Amino acid sequence: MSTLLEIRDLTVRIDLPGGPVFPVRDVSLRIGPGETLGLVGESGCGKTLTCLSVMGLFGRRVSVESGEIAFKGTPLDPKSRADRARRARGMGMISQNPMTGLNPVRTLGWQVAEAYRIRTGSSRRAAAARAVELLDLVGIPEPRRRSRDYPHQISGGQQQRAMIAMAIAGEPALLVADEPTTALDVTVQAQIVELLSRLQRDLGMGMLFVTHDLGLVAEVADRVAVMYAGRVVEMAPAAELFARPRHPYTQGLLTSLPFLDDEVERLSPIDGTVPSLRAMPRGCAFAPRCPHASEICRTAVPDLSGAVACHHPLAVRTEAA
Amino acid sequence: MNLRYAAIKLLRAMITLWLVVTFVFVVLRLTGDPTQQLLPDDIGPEIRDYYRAAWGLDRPLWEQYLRYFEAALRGDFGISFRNSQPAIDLIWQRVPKTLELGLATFFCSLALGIPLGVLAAVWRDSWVDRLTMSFAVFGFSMPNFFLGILLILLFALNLRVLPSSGYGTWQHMVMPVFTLATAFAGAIARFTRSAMLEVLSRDYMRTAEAEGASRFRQVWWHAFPNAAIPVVTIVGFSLGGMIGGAVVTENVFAWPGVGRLLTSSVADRDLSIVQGIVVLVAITMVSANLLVDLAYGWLDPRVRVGGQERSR
Repeated sequence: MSTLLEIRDLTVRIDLPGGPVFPVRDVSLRIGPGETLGLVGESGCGKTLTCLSVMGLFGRRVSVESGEIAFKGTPLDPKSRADRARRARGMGMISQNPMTGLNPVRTLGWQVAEAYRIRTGSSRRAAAARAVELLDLVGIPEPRRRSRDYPHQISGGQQQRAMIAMAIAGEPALLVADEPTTALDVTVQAQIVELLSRLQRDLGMGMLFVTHDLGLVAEVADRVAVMYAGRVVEMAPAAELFARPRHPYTQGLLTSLPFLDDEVERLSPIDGTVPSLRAMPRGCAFAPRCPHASEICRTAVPDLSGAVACHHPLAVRTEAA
Repeated sequence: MNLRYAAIKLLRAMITLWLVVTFVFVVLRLTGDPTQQLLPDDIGPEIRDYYRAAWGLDRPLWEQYLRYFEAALRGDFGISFRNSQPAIDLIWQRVPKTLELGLATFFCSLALGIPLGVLAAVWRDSWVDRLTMSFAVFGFSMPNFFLGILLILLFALNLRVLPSSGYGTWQHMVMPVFTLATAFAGAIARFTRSAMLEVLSRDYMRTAEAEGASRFRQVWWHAFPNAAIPVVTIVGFSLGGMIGGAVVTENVFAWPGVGRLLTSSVADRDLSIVQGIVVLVAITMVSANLLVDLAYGWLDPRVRVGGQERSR
């Protein structure tokens, strides 16, 4: 299988007044054309920063410490102008909060047309026409009229649809969706997820779908990567991950989920909290909270050989067991 | 543009003007009898009474106010005590000269302040930023009379390249405009910088970056229209202050505008002129504020549609 996006041993550094921190460590991910990779983890585990690194959106203090990101087989240089353009043409991003992601003083039509025009270099008139088509494509009713509206005039769900229209303008090969439904009402969430899946199928895009919602990931992702404290701790096809989690953290996440048909009376939350970036344990970051932790867990970082980064992966249960 | 919004703003402006006009009347009548100041001390009481009757000062206060107010509506502020011409005519003769100075200052400070503020924000913490902000602080903390005198010393007395004062050629305008513009440009630059810094950190700027918009496009097409909204406020204040704010500078450079007329009329207790000028300044301030409010409506779609805003 050819690779659309490949992240190799990415470590991201943030320079803070008290010294640098590394919220993303040695992350390796790959996404094939048309494939959806789910990236799951609690808030603060480095999901969003991974997305921003893929998009090349480094702020004033953020930089790539080591590792590389390759798009369609060619590494991207964060500082190169040509690579910036290549990235912009090939990738679209949907961020968490459409309210703040849209420019409040520009019409929806202007913003979608702008995204299309920058990526394709088309004429103003063609871009405006395409913007209306795109708004229609993402399911905004009366797209011609809505294209003259400002972001504050439409609902949160419609705003997210407009953001999606901007992200897919110019038909990028990769869509980076950073918690696209977190800020939305539950009823709207399902619609947006459905829309994303449909667009992805129709346009043949690869998708990096970031969420903390395991239920959502089960629905959309082909493969799932679980992140904990800046590292990928487990990676598996979606069905397999949910059926047979191998990392204690993944299992913890799953048993802390309420399932309606579950016989368990009480949910079992994971004890303890995520370690802070300043006080990362020497060994496995999950060791302090892990029921299976042993001496080696506290001294050596387990690497992600195969599918799970754990010294004591849970046994693969057989049907008999 | 929402008509209701505009109507409310207009009504407020009218009320403000009425208050100012009334306030001017009350204050000036409370400060004593003008005939005491204008006429020599040794004249007889019958002559004093004659002038009091001629100027309407013998009438009850409320009648004076009604007459004054009714006349003010027609733009009539009475006859100048000093040289017996209608006050409004004397003021109007000076207005174009002050306006000339004011508009030149206004455009210079915008042309200087806005690009400098934007660049300082874009290259935050660089030498451009530091240089611009030192210039800005220098500009608005330096008193106009002091900067004016320094300029006269340097360019008129030492270098002899510019006329020290007066009115006529473009050379006469250079120093007064520079003096006034440094202050306004400094304020505008600082305001623009902080507005831009705020906007540049917003999520939608990240959206523009992700789309691959060039730096120039991001700054001027995505960020600046947002930053312009707060900047308009300070620009409006400067515009309103152009007529009244030039008093000191006009005196330093002997510029024959409204500001100099005001200082000489105050010294002579020429009531009609002072009233007229204060009302004129009030009108410019109020109109500038009205323009600012209307500009908000034009620049910010969230204000424009007013009533139909949805909750977030």
